[in-house]
Amino acid sequence: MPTMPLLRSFQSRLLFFFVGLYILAQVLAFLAVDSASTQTARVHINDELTLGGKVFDQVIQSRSEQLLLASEALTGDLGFKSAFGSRDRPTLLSAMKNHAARINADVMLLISLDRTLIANTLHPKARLKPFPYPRLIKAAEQAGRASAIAFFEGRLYRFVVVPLRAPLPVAWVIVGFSIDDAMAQDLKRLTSLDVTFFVEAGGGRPPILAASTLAGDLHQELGAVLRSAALVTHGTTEFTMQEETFLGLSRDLSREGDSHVTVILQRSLDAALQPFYQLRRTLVLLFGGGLAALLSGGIVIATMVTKPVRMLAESAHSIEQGDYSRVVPVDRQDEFGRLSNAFNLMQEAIPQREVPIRYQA
Amino acid sequence: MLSFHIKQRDVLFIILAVVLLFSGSACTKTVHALVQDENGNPVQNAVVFAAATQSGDQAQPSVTGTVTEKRDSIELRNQKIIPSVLPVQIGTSVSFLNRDAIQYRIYSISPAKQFELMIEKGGSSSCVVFDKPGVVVMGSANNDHMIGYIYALKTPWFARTGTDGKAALRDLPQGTYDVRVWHPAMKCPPEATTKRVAPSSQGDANVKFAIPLQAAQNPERAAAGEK
Repeated sequence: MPTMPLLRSFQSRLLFFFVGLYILAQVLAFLAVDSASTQTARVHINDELTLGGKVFDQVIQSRSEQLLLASEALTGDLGFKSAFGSRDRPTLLSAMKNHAARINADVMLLISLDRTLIANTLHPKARLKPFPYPRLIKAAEQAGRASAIAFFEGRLYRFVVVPLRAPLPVAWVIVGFSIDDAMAQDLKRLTSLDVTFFVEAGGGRPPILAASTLAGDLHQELGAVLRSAALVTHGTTEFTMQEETFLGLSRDLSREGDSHVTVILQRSLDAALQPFYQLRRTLVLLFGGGLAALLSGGIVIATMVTKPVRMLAESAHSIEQGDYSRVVPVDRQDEFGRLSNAFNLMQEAIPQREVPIRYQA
Repeated sequence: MLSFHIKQRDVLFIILAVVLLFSGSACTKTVHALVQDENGNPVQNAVVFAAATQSGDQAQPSVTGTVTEKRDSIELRNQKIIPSVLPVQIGTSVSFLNRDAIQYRIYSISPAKQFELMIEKGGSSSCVVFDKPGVVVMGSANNDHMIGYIYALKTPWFARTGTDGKAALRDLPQGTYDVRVWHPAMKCPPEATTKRVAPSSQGDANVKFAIPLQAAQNPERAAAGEK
């Protein structure tokens, strides 16, 4: 039998059609599912990020509120007031250190009503100087209390400002709680987001990383991302770090003088998309398996059609040569079986009719 | 000779007149003060005080006033310091009388006087002597809303205004005085309120003040509003 071009054979045309149809349908379905699921995931992550941002704000606010109440209770202590009234620096500093320790504060500052830094537990011997955050004191003057996140002497603190009343306000007490990696981790547990605090000191210097939940090698890159101004304030932005895609949110925490404190909340898009990548892999596997089954099934079925046709063709060819002995095997009851049976009967009948024809001739 | 005698008589007459004039000045005078805020409302619990001007040496505080020990007292009643403003002359000893059924711990960390007193139920404290001029702000350790002021003055001539904003400085020897006002919520120093008065031999002097007050730091309102 001469080799036919691929599409000339019925078997290959049949296979080509069905396999093609299958691939087309699968690819279209895959694309639809993939784009819908990725988009859903993105919307979901975006929502998570927005929600995480709200939780972050809420946590910062309620913690500040708690610390304000604790600090107010602390400065209401008569012993503390007496220490202030003594006008003796060592006495005052000792009371400040003692009271700061009562609420696990890391620093306590005393600011006079004219906004001069009178005493600082970090530097007991420091001389009087203007307090570097006049806006914070101004806010306290207006509201009776204030809180802010501030960069002070090389570290980031949450400051709460409460008046020292005797019983009229005689000074401002600032209680500071340092913001470190442990606190960032606490925030991560609540928001499910990576939290990084940056301080920009101005003057084009690189931002200072104050606290973060990210691994050390990611810090530098995030700093670069921050500088590239890719993060739009109060919106979500996508950025890439070490070939991993992140969705990030930035918050201005405080801006006083040159220093500007920003927090970046971020979530790895790749990590969040992991379940969808899994779905994609499953879809590809299903597609491959289906294709293999279609091919093998298609070949078997096509062979079942083409084999009896080929045998009938061969038998007919023998008859053409005058050989009536080639019987087509009949091993099935379907349409092909009945056709083979009819063909064999026809083959038997031909020689019987041929004798009278020869005799008459 | 004759004319000389006449002159001598004239001189005697003048001396007599001067003596009479001086004896007339020994009559004491009263200064009536009215203290109002900038809107013309009477200001209660303002301290009006008078000091003799430098030139009038005849109107110095009487010596007896500083020698005899002056006493005054403050009541603690219904969780209030009464009066909330007490003017005293320096050297005055003040005791606290507790009319409530709770103990009080009254303190002050003001530069003019620092003290801390435990006052038993229904009892009274030992005396506190106010020996430096200035404002002493008092509070209660366990009652944050309680607030009281003692204003220690050098002069013996002072009075506190009533609800009508009026106060009278009595028993002032004749002379020229600088009258000033102090109030806990006043936005300016007392020196800025100075008014010079010289009660005439015919009658007493009237003086009216309009002082700028900080709205929120009115002591009564502070006591009521801060819990």
